[in-house]
Formats: sequence, structure tokens, C-alpha cells
Amino acid sequence: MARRRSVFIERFSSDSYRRPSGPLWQPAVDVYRCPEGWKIKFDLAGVRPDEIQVLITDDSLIVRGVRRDSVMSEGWTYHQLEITYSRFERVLAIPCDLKHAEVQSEYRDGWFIVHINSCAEGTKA
Amino acid sequence: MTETRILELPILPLRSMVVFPSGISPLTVGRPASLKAAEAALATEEKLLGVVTQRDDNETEAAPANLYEVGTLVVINRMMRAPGAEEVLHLIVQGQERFKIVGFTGQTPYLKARVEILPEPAREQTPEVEALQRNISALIQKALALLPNVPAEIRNVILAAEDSVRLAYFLGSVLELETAQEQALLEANSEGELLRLMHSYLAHEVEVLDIRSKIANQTQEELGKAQRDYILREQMKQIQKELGEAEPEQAEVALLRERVQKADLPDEVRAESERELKRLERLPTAAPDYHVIRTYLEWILELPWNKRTEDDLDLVHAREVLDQDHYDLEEIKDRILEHLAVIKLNPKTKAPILCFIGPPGVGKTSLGQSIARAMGRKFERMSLGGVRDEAELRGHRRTYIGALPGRIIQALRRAGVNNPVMMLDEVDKLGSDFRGDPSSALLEVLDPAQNFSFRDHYLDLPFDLSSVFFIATANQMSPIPPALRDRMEVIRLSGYTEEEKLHIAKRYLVPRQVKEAGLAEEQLQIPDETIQSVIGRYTREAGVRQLERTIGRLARKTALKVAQGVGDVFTITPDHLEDYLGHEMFFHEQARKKLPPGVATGMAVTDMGGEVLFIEATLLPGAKGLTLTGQLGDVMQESAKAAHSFLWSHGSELGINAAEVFDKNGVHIHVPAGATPKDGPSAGVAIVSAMASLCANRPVKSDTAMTGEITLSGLVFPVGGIKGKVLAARRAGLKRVVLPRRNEHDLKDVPEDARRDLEVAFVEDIRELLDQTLEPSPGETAAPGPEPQHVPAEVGYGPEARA
Repeated sequence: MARRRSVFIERFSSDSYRRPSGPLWQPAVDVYRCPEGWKIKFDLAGVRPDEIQVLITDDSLIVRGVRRDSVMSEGWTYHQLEITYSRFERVLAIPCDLKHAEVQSEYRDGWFIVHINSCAEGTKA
Repeated sequence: MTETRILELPILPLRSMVVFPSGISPLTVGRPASLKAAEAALATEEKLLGVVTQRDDNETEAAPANLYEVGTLVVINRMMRAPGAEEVLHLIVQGQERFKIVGFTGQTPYLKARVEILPEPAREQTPEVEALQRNISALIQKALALLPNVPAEIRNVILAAEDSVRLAYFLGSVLELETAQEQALLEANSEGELLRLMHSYLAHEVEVLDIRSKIANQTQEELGKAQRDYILREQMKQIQKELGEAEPEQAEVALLRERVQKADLPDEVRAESERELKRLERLPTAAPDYHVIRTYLEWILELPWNKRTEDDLDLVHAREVLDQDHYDLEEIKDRILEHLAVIKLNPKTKAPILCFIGPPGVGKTSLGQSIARAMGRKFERMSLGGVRDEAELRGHRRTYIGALPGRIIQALRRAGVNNPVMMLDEVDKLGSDFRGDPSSALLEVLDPAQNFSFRDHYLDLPFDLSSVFFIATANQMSPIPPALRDRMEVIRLSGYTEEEKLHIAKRYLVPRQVKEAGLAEEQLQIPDETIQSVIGRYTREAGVRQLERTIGRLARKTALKVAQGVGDVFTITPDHLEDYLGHEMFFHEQARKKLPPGVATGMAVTDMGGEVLFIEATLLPGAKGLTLTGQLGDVMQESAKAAHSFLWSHGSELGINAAEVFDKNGVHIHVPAGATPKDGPSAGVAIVSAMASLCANRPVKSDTAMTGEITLSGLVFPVGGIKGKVLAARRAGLKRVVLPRRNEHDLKDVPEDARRDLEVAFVEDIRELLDQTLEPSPGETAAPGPEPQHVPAEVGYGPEARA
């Protein structure tokens, strides 16, 4: 899947990860348990998949990116604004061995879903 | 991300606020340029906006020069237009990162600038930062303790904060800081710098909070105490109400009111009492005035404004009472009876104001008591001896602490009636000094025209003293101020004669002392002669106090013998007196059997009665003038000079060659006893007789005593004290007395038996006098007479003798 590939998944060690400066907005999250492991669903409507970044450290999953207003056009003015744009970041601690888990992502209907297959041995990213 | 990031942003100028990275702030945008900037930011995809604080809040047009250089990159989270005011935008922005303006790229329609994003303040791990962190957290604890109203969420956020930079930014937006201070926080590039700033702001803030809380506490405390007292007092009232007790002060006022209503008061007094009662009701018990007013009202209530005793107008009974208590004193008794008779006829008559003047011990004070008893009145006595403050008589004004009414009002309260017999003892011993003259205060009290409305300083209400029977007593007339003397009816009590003393002793003193010693009446017999001896030889006084004491000694010594079982009944004869009382103490001058020329017998009177005295004159050949010795007063000295001058100038007319004698000789006159002061003009005749006797070398008749004042022209003037003088002459064993003609009527006072024993001659001038006094032997040249008889020494001779 072209969409899936476009999401850049990067692995870090916990020590080397540094938070970006400034507070960012945090997307809402649903976390599921499933027989294979974990499904994590982010409310990231309006974010282009290629602007979502998934980082994996030893014990946490970090999703970040930028939401841009792509609807706004020349000559329009805002009457009301309630959707938060700009950079976001969400750090989730997942109680499983992420180092050796298989992690995949999927973007569908405004949801960004991360699949963690913790039962799998070895890495197949 | 260490590389520098340069962005171009619309810039929104902020007035008096700073948005920190991480802070969420509401902004209201109204200025046209700002509106344009916000619109431009909203038109971008990321809704990013740069906010920079203005240096000057009052500047409406935000020029680049008026902006700080460091600002905050924010994301517009929410935006809405105010209903009805489309041109005003409400934004909620979230701070992201700090930036530094590199350069402005446009000023119209809105500010646009290229900015360089600044890194977050570098975290440091130095001991200083550590210390600052701890201090700040301690200060925060303290501040939170002082701020009880901080919501729990904020409290938790602050206490849970782990990142000191975030915390500092948060505190920067929460604390009330100056814009410049907030900007300084924003511009801090390292954690150390940021924390140092924060620490100083926070310390200041905590100090202010501390002081504020102290002030609040103090106010609270003060309020609290007043509140507490009030509540307790209210509770007490409730408790008392429950117990059925009225409030004590109210009860007291009610009681006083009741008493005022019941009391028989004159109108003016009643009005004043009501007024004071009203004041009292309004005062709390604790007020100092409360007690002052209460005491005042009690005084008013206790005074006998209209209470009086009925006079006993039975004249026979009154006479009996007076006679029982006092021997003789006919003049005073008559005066009292007269007054009772007047009251009987005219009940409204004013009480008399009497003044008894007499030597000590003659019964002035007890006479007052008898008068009260005879009239059926109450008796009040106050001694004025030594009183020298006017306020003691008339009281202190109520403004003084502890003020009380004067003695007059106090005595009336004691008496409980407004018509007692009030005895003012020792008025001649009133003092006076800078505090005022009490005798002047007495003027008002004793003036019948004024004393119906006597005003005491304390009461300040008129009290009617006109029914009070005032009796003043004094030993001497002279110290009493004339104005005071004038207001009183003076009655003189002379000293008792020996006969009177004998009667008093027999009738009053002996029975009293016998009883006092615990003897039966018949156990001690004291014959008249014994009493006379005691009077004459063991006492010398005008009154009978010493006599009573001496009789008391006799009675006690007898009682001792009775108790020792020596006998049962004793009779004390004059011979026994020496055993009982020791040696005789006093001697009276006795007539000298033969007088040499130059010695004459005079008569004097003292408080203790009459005395005989001798005038001794002698010539001093070769000397000049007149020498006078023997403690003679001025008047007596002048009398001697007058006698000297008269004889010098008129001697030849009398057949006495005085001028020649005086020319060649001085004269010395001595009057024994030398230690007793003597004064008065009445020795004039005796002095002139003595000098004439000396000049003519004719002795004065030794059985003759004389008294009278002489004048320079040779007249003989009357003198006082005839009764005492005549009695003394008789006692001394003389046979004749020579008196001034004008004293003839005084002879009536002399008891009958004394008159019988004496031959009395009256003279009008010195010629007659010398005929009566000098021995009629002009040719006989007498040898220098025998030595003058021994003059007995005087022991304890009393006060000044007046010749």
C-alpha cells in the first residue's frame, strides 16, 4: 500500500529521543487489544499521511506530524476556528517489547491506525 | 534541531501581556492592523502567528521600534467573532516557541517579520540551578500556604511540575508581574537566568503575601476579640435571663429610681436626681462615671432633706435636764429656755447660732449635748481644730476622683434629720492656707440670712441649714475672724470658782469616779475640806478635768486598799492627801504681813481664776529712767510708763516730791513670778501706788489689794474680771480691795459670803486711790523696811495672767 509505505517509521533508543521544543497538540487516541497484539487508532483527520511520523523507542510509541489547513482558499475569511492545526505529537507507553515487535500503519477515513504485532518473533518491517 | 530556523510570520503586537511558550492565552484583537495580522495567520495552513509585546502600552499604532525583539510563536487554537461585533476577534492561542525578530518585511496592512526561532532555555545541572529550584519550590509551598483560594487543579499542576522551565513560564503567567518583568522571563536564554529571575519575583511576591496575610490576621484578630466579647456578653445576658436575673446594672438603676421616687425630696433635688438617673441608665457599669453618679445619688437619697425631729418644748423638763448635767451656767441655760419659749410661740423662728467661749474643761462640749437632750434634738459634733482646707467643710466638686461632700453635709447624714444641734468645736483653731480659708466657708453656714440654701460643692444643690442649732465653741475670742464672730451670739463661760468646783466635785465628779473605780458610794468618804485642798493645792485650772483626774486617783488608791483587804470604808481627810497624792503642787500668793515702801498688792485674772500679785518698785540712785522686769507685756509696760510720768508731773500736787526723786534716781519695777508672762492695763493702780509709796517713803497698806487702769491725767478706769480678782483677794487673806468706781456694778457677781468678808473701796482718780492705799503716816520716816517676804516659787503657773 502506497499510503502505508509513505508513513515513515523510525526506531530510536530511549536515551537519544529528544522532544521538540514547545507544546504541541495531542490527537485523541483509542487503544485496542487484539489476539495479534495492539491496535492504536489516532484521530488525525485532515493530516496528510506523508506528514505523519511514527517513532518507536524501547517502551513507547510516538506519533507526530503537522496538520495543515488545506481547505482555506484565497479571499476566504474565518468566521470561527475550532480545529487545531500545526504540529502535534502523542507519546504512548505500550506494555510490550516494542523493540522486537512488528509495527505497521494504515490511514483510513481520517483515522491513522498503528498495528503492533507483539507475538511475532523478530522484525519484519 | 540545532540549526537555526528562520520563518516569516505575521506579527500581532500585544499590550501589557506576554505569552509564554507552553502558555494558553486568550487574546482579544480589535486594532485594524492586528486584525489583519490575525486574518493572515488564519489564512495559513498551520495558523501560526508571532506575538510580540509592546514596550509602551499606550501606543495604539504599534511601530516596529515600539516592540520588544523577542516574541512567542503561537498557534491559534480557537477563534471566534464576538456576536454583534464582527470586527473584534477572540483568539485562544497556545505558545509554541520563542523567537527573535530578525527583520520586518512589511508594515502594511499588517506587521510582517522574519524571525529566528530561539532554542528552549538550555537545561543546566549546576548546583546553583539546583539550589534555585529548591528555593523556588520552597517559596511556592509558602505562597500556596498563604493563598488558600488557589483552585486545586492549579495547585496540583504547580506541585506536580517536573520541568522547572515550564514551571517558571507558568508562574510568569500566573503571578501578577510587570510586563517588563514578564518580558525578561521570556528573553532568558538559560535555565539559570530564568530561575534567578523567577526566584527574585517569587520571593518578592511571597513577602508581599506574607505581609498581606499578617495585616489580614491582625485585623481579623482585632475584629475577632471584639466579636468574641460581644458574643460572650450576649450569652451572659441570655443566661441571666434564663436564670430570671435582671442585668445587674439595670437592676441597680431600677432600685435607685424606685428609691428616688419614694424619697421625700425638694423639687430641685428631685429634678437633678432624675437627670442623673437618666445619665446613669445610659452608662455601662464599667464607665468610670457610673460609680461617681451612683455615689452621688446615694448621697442625695441619704440626706434628710425634709426629715426633722419634733422639739421638746416642755420648759420645765428642759430646765431639769440642763440642771442635771451642769452646775450653774445660768446665762446659757436661760438662753436655751428663752429659745424654746420662742419656738413655742413662733415655730418658724430661726435657730440661734451660739458661740461658747471659755477655758478648757468648763463643759462647753457637754453643754451642747445637754442642750440637745433638753430640746429633744439629735446631737452632732465636729471638731474644726486643725481644719485648714475649705473643701473639708464644703466638699470637693464632683470632677475630682473620690470627691465627697464636706463635713457639714456628712454630719447631717449621720444625724439623719435637718434640725440637729450641731456643735462646731474649736472654731478658734481653724487653720487657713493656700487651699482656702475654712472660716470663710463657715460664714455662709452660720449666716441665718444665707444658710437656708447652703450649697455643698459636691452636691451642688441647696440644703436648708436654717433649722440646725449651731453651737460653736472656742477657748479664745481673738483668733476668730471678726466676720465670723459677728454672726454668732457669744456666751462666755468663765472658769469655775473654787466654790463652784466644790459643788461640781461633790455632785458629779466624786460619785462618777467612785463608781468608775468599782467602789460603793459609802466606801469612800471625801469631806469638803479635802476637796477644797485638792482644788487649791493639787490642781490649778479653769475647768474641772484635772480635778476629776485627781479625784479619780484618790478613788483608785482606795480601791487598791479595799482589794488588798486593808479596810472597807475610807475617809480621806486633808492630812491624808500627801500620802495619796504626794507633795502639794501649787501655791497661791498669800497676803504679806508687812509691806516695805515700794511694794503694792495687785490683782490679776487668768483662765484659772483670779490671782493676787505683788508689784515691787525700787530706786536706783544715779540711774535714769524706768526698768521693767517680770515678763511684762506691752500694755503693762505702757501702764508703768504712764504711772512714772504721772507721778513725775503731778507728784507735787499730791504732796509727793516725785520729780526730784526721779531726777536723781532711776526706777526698777519687778513683778513676780518672773517666769509668768503678764499683760493688761489693770495693774496700773498697783504700779502707781508702789511708785508713790517709794517716792513718799510711805508703805502701801498690806491688807489692801487693788486693780484698775490709770490714765496719764490721773483717772482710774474700770477693768474686767472683778469676780475672780475679788475671790482671789479673799482667798489670799486680804481684808480690803480698792476698785475703780465704775466697776461697782460688777460686785453683784461676787458671791455673797465673799462680799461679807471684804471691805470694798471705790476710787475715781489717783488722788483718791493713794488716800485709800498708802499708809497715812506722812511724817514718819520709816527705816528701810524688813526684807520682802519670801515669794514662793510658782510651779506650773498656767497661761498668761492678765493684770
